[in-house]
Amino acid sequence: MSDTPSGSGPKPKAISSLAKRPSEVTRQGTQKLKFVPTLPTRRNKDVEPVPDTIPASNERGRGRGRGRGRGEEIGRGRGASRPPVEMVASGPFALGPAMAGNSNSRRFAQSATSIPTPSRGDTSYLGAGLSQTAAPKIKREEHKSQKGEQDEEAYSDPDESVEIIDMENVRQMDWMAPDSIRKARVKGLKKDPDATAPEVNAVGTVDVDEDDADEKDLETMFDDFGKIHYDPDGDSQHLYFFQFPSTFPTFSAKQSDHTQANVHRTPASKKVTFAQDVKPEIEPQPSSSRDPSVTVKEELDGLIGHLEVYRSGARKIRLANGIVFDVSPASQPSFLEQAVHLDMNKNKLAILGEIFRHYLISPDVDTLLNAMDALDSTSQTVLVGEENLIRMDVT
Amino acid sequence: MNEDEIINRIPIRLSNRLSLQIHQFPLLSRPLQAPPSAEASGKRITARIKPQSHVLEIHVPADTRLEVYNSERSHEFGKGRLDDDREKNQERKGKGREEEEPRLAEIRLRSEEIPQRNVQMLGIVHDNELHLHPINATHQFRPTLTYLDILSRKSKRRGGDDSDSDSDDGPPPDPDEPAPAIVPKKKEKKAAAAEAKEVQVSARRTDDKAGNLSQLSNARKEMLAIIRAEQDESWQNLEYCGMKTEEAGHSLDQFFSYNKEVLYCSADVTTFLG
Repeated sequence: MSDTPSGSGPKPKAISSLAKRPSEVTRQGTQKLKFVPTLPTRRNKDVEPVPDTIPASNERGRGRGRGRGRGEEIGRGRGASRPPVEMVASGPFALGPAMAGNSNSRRFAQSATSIPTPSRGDTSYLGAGLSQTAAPKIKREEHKSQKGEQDEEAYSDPDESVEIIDMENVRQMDWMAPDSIRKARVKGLKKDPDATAPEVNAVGTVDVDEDDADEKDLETMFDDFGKIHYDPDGDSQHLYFFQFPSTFPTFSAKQSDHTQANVHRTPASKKVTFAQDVKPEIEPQPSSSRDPSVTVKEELDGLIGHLEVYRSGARKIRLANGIVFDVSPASQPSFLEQAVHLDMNKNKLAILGEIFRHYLISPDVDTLLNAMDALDSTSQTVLVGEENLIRMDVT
Repeated sequence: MNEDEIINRIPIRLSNRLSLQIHQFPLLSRPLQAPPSAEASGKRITARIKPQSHVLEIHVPADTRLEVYNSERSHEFGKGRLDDDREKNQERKGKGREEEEPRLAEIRLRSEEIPQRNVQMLGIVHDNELHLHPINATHQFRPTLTYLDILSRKSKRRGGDDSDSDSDDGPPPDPDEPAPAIVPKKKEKKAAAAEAKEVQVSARRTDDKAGNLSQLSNARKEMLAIIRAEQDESWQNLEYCGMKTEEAGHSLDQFFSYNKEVLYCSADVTTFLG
């Protein structure tokens, strides 16, 4: 590691960028004339001039020449024109006039700085050992990445050791390849898949999801539960994550009076039967992580209600005792989530799968209000003469 | 709402047989798999747990192909990791194989438990029925880079007057309670020569603020106690069964509810009114 060759011996702890370099100022305080060489004394061929200025500015900021000993010379010469002779072509004109007019040349040019240029003397071609297999994706991204298969750009034939890579497809190159940033789609693109995305949005903007996430969410939610009716064989085995409100109703398998299970239909068309074993009522949602000795988990297994799919696309969960929930899509995480079964008895950690979609469950407001009214009206004793009056809530 | 007709009704079933957890990987947007090159050489994902502290670790073999892996640094880091393991007494008693030069061939993801606020359930549609299962715990996994601490400690000792930013004395001491930052450092110093310098620095500081040691707040003490308890607990190895394995299939079978009977609900809609 080379330290910055400053005039003094031990390096001061002060931030060097703020301190004036001793070599720039003479004893009288005037600026020394700096000799700027027209030719650099040493230059590595495999470093582009474009990222060249970046380490120089970093270096100025940190005052250290670690790993880039020559950077300081070039840092001083930053104001001067680029050293002429060994310059490596990069940028929009990298491959000559043929590429200049192509609208995708700019996209390619970004990758030009990262791909070895023909002038590199080294024979180990950077892309030689790549596996050429696609990097794996989390399943739920399949939907979104289906678009954009539209155009395969036709590039000019590659030169000797240059491989033309479309930045959108960089993921296909290797198992470890990074994800490319998705282009923001224009609304018109959905209807016209052949149109190329406008240049303006080509780089960097990731507001893809925000615009049409809401529209998509209803559709996709519909797909999740609506399709099942028509596709009984396709047990997709997707894992859905439901977030219920914290007062989740407690369920228990309660004993009836030893008779046969009683089936009677309520107006909400639910079946209410009683199971035959006796078990104490216990919360079925233990957060048993903190104190395993205290919570006794009751084994629950049975039917609790129905998920109703409406034509409008709404979904409701209807449980016993008139409990109705609204199902709405929650914000989807962009990272990996797995459902896992931890069996401490067998010391086993089994992965059940990746979570496909998140849903948020909230109580249905209409039902709640109706129930509240009903509760209020039944709990009052109406005195004579008060039938038409509304009771004030003084609680 | 009144004209809205129901076009499909799916029964919902509940079961809670399994101890279900959600593992989140915030820094990962790909499936958790061993890279094909590692699988070919027989490496698999492994896991271990500290049951009392509720900490899990998942070790994922890294892709060691030359194009994406730097061998020289891996030796450096591997040595650091080995030292780190020894310090924390979590060194894997070797399976008979003594590697001359340890390499950093796996990524360790360490978990933190996230407190659950609402009731969370996992649902799978199976046979035209939605099976729900409550989730016990949620863990977030992030890679541990503790081997870097050891390496920076060594380089700090070695280059005492090197003003690299890495070798800063750490974050500026908390004006109220500087002592706790010093105490663990003192415990872990093992090197011979340079230690003298370090100890002097530490000793000086504790001398200056000796009075404040007793002012360690209770919360601070509790935190330290938890951290020490966690460090003292030893790891238990777990058998990691990936998604496609038979073991995972067994677990999945247990997930579903098989009882056709209806469970009795003791609550009412009005419980949601608070």
